[in-house]
Amino acid sequence: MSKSIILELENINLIINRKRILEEINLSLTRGKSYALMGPNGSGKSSLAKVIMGYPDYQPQNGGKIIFQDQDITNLSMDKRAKLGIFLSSQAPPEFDGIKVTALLQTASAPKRSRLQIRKEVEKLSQELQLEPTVVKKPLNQTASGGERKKLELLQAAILDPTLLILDEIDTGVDVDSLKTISRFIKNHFVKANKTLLLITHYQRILEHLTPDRVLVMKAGRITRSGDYSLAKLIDKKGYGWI
Amino acid sequence: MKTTFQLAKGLTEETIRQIWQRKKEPQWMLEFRLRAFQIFQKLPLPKWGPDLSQINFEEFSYYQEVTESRPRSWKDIPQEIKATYEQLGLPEAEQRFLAGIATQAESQILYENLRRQLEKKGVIFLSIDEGLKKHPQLFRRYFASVISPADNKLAALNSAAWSGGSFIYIPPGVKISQPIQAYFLINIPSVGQFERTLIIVDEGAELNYIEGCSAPLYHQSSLHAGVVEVIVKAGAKMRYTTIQNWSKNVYNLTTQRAKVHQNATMEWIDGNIGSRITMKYPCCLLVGEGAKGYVLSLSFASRGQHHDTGAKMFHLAANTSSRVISKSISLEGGHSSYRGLVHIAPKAANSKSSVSCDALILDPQSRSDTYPTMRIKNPKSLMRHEATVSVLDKKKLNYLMSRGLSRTEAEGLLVTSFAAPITQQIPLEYASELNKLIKLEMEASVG
Ligand SMILES: Nc1ncnc2c1ncn2[C@@H]1O[C@H](COP(=O)(O)OP(=O)(O)OP(=O)(O)O)[C@@H](O)[C@H]1O
Ligand SMILES: [Mg+2]
Repeated sequence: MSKSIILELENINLIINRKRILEEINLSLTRGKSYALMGPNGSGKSSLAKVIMGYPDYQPQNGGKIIFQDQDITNLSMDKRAKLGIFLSSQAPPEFDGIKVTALLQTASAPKRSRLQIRKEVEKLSQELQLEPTVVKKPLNQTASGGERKKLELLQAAILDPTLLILDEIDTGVDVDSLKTISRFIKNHFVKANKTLLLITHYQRILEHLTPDRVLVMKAGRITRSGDYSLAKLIDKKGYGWI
Repeated sequence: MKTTFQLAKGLTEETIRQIWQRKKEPQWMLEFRLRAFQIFQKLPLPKWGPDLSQINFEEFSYYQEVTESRPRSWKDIPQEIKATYEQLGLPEAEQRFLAGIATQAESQILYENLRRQLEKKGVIFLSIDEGLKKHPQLFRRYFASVISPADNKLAALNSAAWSGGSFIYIPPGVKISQPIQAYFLINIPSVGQFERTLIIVDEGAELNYIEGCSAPLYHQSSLHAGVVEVIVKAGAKMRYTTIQNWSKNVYNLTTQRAKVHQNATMEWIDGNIGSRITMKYPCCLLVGEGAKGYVLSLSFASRGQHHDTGAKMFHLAANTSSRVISKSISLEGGHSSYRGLVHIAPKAANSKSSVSCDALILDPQSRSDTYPTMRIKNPKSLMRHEATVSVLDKKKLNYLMSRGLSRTEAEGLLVTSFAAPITQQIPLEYASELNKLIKLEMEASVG
């Protein structure tokens, strides 16, 4: 495998409760590039992201393989994959009733970074994201708005500093100004740092800010088409029917 | 701690006389002890709750004399206590503080200052034996005025054989805001078998008192039957915090009760981690108008443990209110039960009570039950009861693991956050230690 390939998916099939969700997915992502993953509702985008992250119910069948930075991670648990540098920002992050984002990040970064260090970073990053201190100090996502939740996901990503960043609909439910903030944040922290980005989105808007190198389109559990940025514009105009 | 005298095993009238003699107590105390002993013999063990049939009352020695001086230096702290502190990952300053050889400011002087300050204000802070000797009238007026020997078999046993514990009197209007750890202030062995505590908080006074230690305490004898009596006078406020982590051979059968007068507030905070069986139901007798009672209790029951804990609230006057928050965590076949009683007497008009019990069960072998009893005898009063039973939320667990937390770390974080409404109420250094302890126990159960 070439050094420039960061993630390789080989023949990924996923069946849950007898329902076929992903079918023969083969995909390589190049280090430092940005990808947009598009496709109609229910086409399997989030499922593919969970397969890469390693969610317990999303283990590929029939000998499918996931290679990350030349290492076969198909059988690694999620926490190990996270430690290797994969981050998935969830489409619908859960609401916690006791755990604050700072505590989560302190546990995740121990013992490498001190609690104080994390607290300071959280403070700085939340300013950058224009997150109210009261929102950050509450248990994670408790009573947080849709947009605030997305920002809290990015805040975690920035601290955990992954090599592969998968953002599942980070732009959904986000107002125009916040979209700018979020896009700038992604650019500064990840694009400029040469991270690999997989952006799952329904909208052209965020792609205007973060021009993807490739656009991938899923339909019914398969990647049916790929192209350059112009493909995203086309989809915006014509929908998926013609693909 | 060194034992310098020990009675032969078993309890008889003769051994009680010996206890009384050795302690050089007044005549009335002998009569009290003997009467309690008769009651003990007559009363049956509780027929509900955990199985106590394996307790053999003949097996214990009912009185020891020990010499224990407050450790003077770090060298004097027993090795196994040090080892636990290390395991808990406490910084040395904190270790020294918890070991009782330094206060937060790392100074013995500060501690002495505190003691002198308290004395100047007329506060009495003594071991219970000294209390009886130095303040006989005050002692006799309140002793057994809240918990009679006839209350239950274990209270009777304590009344017959008690020794050790503390005696505290706070004069009217004196407010002691900083939490006070019994172990640091009173030079007594902290692990008495039949401890007896008597606390009087006089009108408008305040006390925040902490008993116990979250570091595991090894108790040679497997029975701990304490009695804690608290009197909270009009307008006064008392918070009594217990953190119990007895070794897993111990039966912890303790009776705690407070008499709460007009517009006074009593708060019991109770954290049970250790012991084989704990039966404990902190109680408030809300006897004065506007009295308030709180119980916050946390139970963590692991393999071989059964915690039957709860609260009793007696509303005996108008405009009284009570609140009970109980959280239990069961794992590895552990069993926790909530057993509660709310009684609103006919004359307790416009009273309110709310009880919420949340149980978290970590695996299918473990168990949790709720036994609430409600007796509402006044139609103008309100009672609310909520109970939830939950398992660890898989979605949250997955989410945390996707951020790089191992399964144990993620479970630990979820469990300590479940317990947070209680742990947040206790002083930070104890809370963080308690959280670490919970995590340690969970790691032990995995590995
Ligand atoms: N755990 C699961 N159990 C059963 N079915 C599932 C599970 N996860 C996903 N599916 C199904 O798989 C299909 C793909 O779902 P997925 O969430 O991956 O779609 P998506 O492309 O992300 O859609 P959207 O754009 O709406 O977010 C859907 O039909 C969904 O119902
Ligand atoms: Mg989706």
